[in-house]
Amino acid sequence: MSGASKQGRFASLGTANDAFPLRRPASRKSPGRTSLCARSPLRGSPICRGFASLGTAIGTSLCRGFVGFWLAVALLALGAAPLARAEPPENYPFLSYDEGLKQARAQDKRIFLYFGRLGCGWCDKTNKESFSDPALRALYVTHYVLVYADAESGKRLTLPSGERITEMELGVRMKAFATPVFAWLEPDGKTIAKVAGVQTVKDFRDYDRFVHGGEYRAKDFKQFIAENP
Amino acid sequence: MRLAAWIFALLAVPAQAAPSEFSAPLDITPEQPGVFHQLDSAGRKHIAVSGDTVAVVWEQSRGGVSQVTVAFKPLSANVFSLLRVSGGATAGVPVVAPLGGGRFLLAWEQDGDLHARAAEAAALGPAVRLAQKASQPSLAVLDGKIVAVWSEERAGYPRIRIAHLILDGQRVSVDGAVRDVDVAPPKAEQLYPDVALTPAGVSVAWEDRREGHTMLLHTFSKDGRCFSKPKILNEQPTKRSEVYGKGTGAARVALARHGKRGIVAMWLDKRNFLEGYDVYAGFARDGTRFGRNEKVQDDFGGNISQWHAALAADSRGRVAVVWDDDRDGTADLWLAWPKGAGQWSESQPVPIASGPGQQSSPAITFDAAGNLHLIWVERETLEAPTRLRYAVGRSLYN
Repeated sequence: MSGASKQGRFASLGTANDAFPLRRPASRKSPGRTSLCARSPLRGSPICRGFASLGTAIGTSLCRGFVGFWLAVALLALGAAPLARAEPPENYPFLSYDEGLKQARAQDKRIFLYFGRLGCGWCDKTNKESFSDPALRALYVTHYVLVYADAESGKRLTLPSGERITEMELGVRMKAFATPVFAWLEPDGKTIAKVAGVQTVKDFRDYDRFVHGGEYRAKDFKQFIAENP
Repeated sequence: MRLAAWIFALLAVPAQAAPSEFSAPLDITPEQPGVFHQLDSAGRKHIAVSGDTVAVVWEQSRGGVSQVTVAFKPLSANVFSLLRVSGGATAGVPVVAPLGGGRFLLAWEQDGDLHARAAEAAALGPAVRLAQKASQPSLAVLDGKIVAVWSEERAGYPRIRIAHLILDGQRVSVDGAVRDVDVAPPKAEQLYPDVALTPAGVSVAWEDRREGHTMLLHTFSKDGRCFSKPKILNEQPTKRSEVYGKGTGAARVALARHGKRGIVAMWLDKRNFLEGYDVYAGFARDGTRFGRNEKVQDDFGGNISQWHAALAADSRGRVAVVWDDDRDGTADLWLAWPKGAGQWSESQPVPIASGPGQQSSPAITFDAAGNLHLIWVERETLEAPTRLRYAVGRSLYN
């Protein structure tokens, strides 16, 4: 069905042969925000933002078009080493979200949050190619409380408000719809920065400069990187 | 000929579509500072209709402690009466099934064990522990048969277990042995099961991690004791990399009886990783073998993730799926139903659960008249206290 007819459908709800009175309420939200027909389905997606965050012209430009994106996927799929599962990288002291929040508050330390999924290829690639770097590990262990959340898990955690939710529900709240998602949080859990997709060692170092250096208080990441490549 | 076609169309509609005209919503519980409602159980079986009574069960947390509450309401009334179901230090993931005549069966996790009790509007039967180190129960009832499934720690992994239950007055007990639905040696986690009963037998589906990623498996048994070798329910996309990762994700399968003999399954599926979770469904017309997977939501929901998908179906062939997504900026409820031949309706916003604020985590069921009973969690912001809401969608075809 075409996008045009879809939009037409919104205009005529409740009158067609569906005899369906589920009329779209007078919308206070942006109509057609996610229409596949209105734009590339990839533009603005977390994956594209992930690519863009690589800081490479190729990643950013590839995400400008559907074909380019799939080319990027193919490139990613090539030339890599085997690994069975995408779980937290080995030898990193990852905690659960609520344990991490407690520790972050106690130590007045920021949080690095990793949303992964069992079997996730791009988590796997990031684990192997970035988190295997000993210097990166030392940097992140020193600067952050490390938290890992399984995006499909029913494991319970308690938010500072006293609300008990699952790790999957935490992903809903943080809009972690693709994995991996990496987020840097204040000790109270407030999000400082968030990025999706494969990240290189340089990306993680750039984010560390931005977050640990306190630069986020004055500028956004894009501006920071432009000024401090 | 034309007249015959019209008559056929009119007769065909109730068997497929789920159009409903929703009433004004009721608060099951109002918003209270520091109180949060959760509808997050296996199969999302949080609501049931038995006789002329509707029952709703949920987990409610405050100060990091959760307990289970059930609410009852005569179909004609506008107010729910509430009863606390659980005890212990903390409890959650409750489900409810109709027993007929205004009676219900409840199951939930409490302090790491699985409990069940019968219930009706005026009283609760005694709570009975069904299993230890167990969680994520689900229930199915048909013609006096009652089965429960759950995920239980066995040999180092959570395993899907099944038991036949009987009621002696208000007391629930296990009839015979508790069994594994999968006899293969434990290798990885098995989680979030759901179960459906048909005259042909018992169907069970669950999340299975034995292949290094989450797949949905299903199995069938004529007698509920000896199960077929599990089969994959969610079709697997072509692997994108031979090197990285083990495969795509899927989560939170729900099953329901569909028509006289069939089963419908519905789940969240990440086969298209760019879209987050999409809602997929499959039909087993004979109650045993599923056909092709069908995408439930329309293309407008393609670039964002769908969450908390819930399923309702009945013996007359009605099917409805509801979920939340934030295609319009904040979470709203969306509804779809099958149109036949693998096609689903366009996704329709539920008008009473759309608009400013967050409307999420729905659950649904049909009553005998084909009316669609809907509950959901509503809050102003993601950090705000919640309230639990209810509405009934009057069938347009009765």
